[in-house]
Amino acid sequence: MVPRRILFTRLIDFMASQGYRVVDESVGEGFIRFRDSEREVVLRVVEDTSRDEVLSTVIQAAFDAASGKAAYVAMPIELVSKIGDHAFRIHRIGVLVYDSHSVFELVSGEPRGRAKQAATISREDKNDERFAVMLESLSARLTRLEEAMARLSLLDELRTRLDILEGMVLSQKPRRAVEEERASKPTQVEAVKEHVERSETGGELPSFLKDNPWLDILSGKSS
Amino acid sequence: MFEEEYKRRYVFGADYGTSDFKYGPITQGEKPLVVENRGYFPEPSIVASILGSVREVVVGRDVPLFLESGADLATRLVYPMRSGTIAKDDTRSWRVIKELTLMALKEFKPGGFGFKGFYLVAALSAIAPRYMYETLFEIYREIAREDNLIHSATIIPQPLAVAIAHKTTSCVVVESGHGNTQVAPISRAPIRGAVVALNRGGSDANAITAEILKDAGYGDLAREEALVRRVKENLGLLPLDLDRAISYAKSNPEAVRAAYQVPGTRIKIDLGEHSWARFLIGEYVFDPNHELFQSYFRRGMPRPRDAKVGDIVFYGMLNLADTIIASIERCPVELQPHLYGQVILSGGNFSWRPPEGLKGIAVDAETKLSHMLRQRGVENAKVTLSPEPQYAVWRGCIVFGYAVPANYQWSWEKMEGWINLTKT
Repeated sequence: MVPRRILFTRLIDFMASQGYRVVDESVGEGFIRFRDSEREVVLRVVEDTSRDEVLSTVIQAAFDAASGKAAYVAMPIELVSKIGDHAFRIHRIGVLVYDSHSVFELVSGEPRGRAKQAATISREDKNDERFAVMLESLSARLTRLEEAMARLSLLDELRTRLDILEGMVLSQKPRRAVEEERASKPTQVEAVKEHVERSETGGELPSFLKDNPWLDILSGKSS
Repeated sequence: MFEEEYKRRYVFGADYGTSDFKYGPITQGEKPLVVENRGYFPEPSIVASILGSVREVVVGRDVPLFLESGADLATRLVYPMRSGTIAKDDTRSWRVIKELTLMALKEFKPGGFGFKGFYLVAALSAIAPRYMYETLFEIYREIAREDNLIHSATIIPQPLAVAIAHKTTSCVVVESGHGNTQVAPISRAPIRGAVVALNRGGSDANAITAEILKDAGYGDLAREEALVRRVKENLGLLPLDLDRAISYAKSNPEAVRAAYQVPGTRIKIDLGEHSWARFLIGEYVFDPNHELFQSYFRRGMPRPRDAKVGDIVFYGMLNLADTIIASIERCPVELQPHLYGQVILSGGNFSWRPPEGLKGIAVDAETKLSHMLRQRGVENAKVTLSPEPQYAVWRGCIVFGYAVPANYQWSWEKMEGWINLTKT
């Protein structure tokens, strides 16, 4: 386990390399507060991996994020392996991971400061009009696609009906006539061979399909 | 014919091996993707529950990120196919199989119009009982209903897939996995009544390697399964004749002495005067009946027992040559010469490399098995080792799905054909 003072120094060094300066820190309470020109960052440190401490630290970080600060939690790598990072990503809580040698950022803490929000809102205002136009265009395309889909379903249904009719006709024809008709059409085996040859020339099929005697055997299967 | 064209574009192979799950569609080319056939059930975390990111089971490449240390690991990490079969009521193993399948199909789901689900060809061990087929089809039905990822599905025995991948229509496939070995004759289709199985596989070779490590003074390392496996692969030898090999080793101790440096560590394993025992590792896979093995059994190493799963008896102590002969002799006499003429060995248990200096004493699997068959009066046997055994089953699945017509419906009598899952 890394001594707490050394761990804090490493975390401060890491954040300094990202452009943040320390404004406040409490080794006892396990947090460090940073600033850059735009925002305030609160980094809370988890050392003891008991459920109570983890839970308490994550809730505090969630409060930090809700109050408009960028919130980070620093955790040992074995804890991250256990709980994963998905929840932190969706709740925009940054995660720094440390082990006995190094510190790295696993999840970036997104700022919720007013300046950033204002900038976002102003950008959103500008984009609103463009989105409305895009939405209208997408909606029209969707309608056209739905119509095309409906036509395809109709085609599917027609094909099914045709299969049924073909089956009915074949079952009523004299056996010899059916055999003659079948002989004039390419069989399944021939169709598979033809497809393999066609694909071979196009270089699409994997080598284990080429010249494989099983193609004849398998394509001849019928219920 | 529209359906045939569609099928050929969306054939998907899934090989549920004892250690690895190999998967991918026909467009994947020569090799499938491979992940370990396992799932991890993490301890429920309060934080994850509150923040809404609970995962009951983790599979695929995410597993190492979730692994916890400690005694719980063995119970939380589930290898569903370790023994080749899954018990009917083993819900956790079936859950892993569903998650792996879902992960694989989602990874290749094409975007855009026209996709109605994959034609999925899965491969199971030749000794998989009927309930495994039923449960797997039920899982596929759920996936088709929930995610529209499967159009039709079929399941084939792994040895058939190996034969298809090797472009051989009459052969005997010997597939050896972690927990068992299956001998399956094929003649344009699997001859199901002639399958003979052994209750012996890679894990048994690991067991004897662990005993040898203990005897050589490495008892502490013998508990780590992954390390034992590496020692087996690096120091294990397959003798042509065990008695002759041991006698050679005792009179030429330096010739067989070997050490293994575990990469990335300071650990070096030197078997020293116990180096003659290297020959026992390979021999045990092929024939565990030599009197030398009795002393290990007496000291507590489990003797491979006969077992019965469904209708199949798994023989514990039958040697490999006798197993192949027993299997072939259940087939028509006219067919037998063709089967002896093409014996395909598949699986990591057959990857024995004889060192340069021990030629004639240590051999590869093909030479050993040919020798054993010859001793039993089979002169015309041609034994070949699958060149890329880890991919053969998946390749066979792809060929099968590509060629079998889409309207060939599943038959429980023949145990083949497609089950259309879009209609349920």
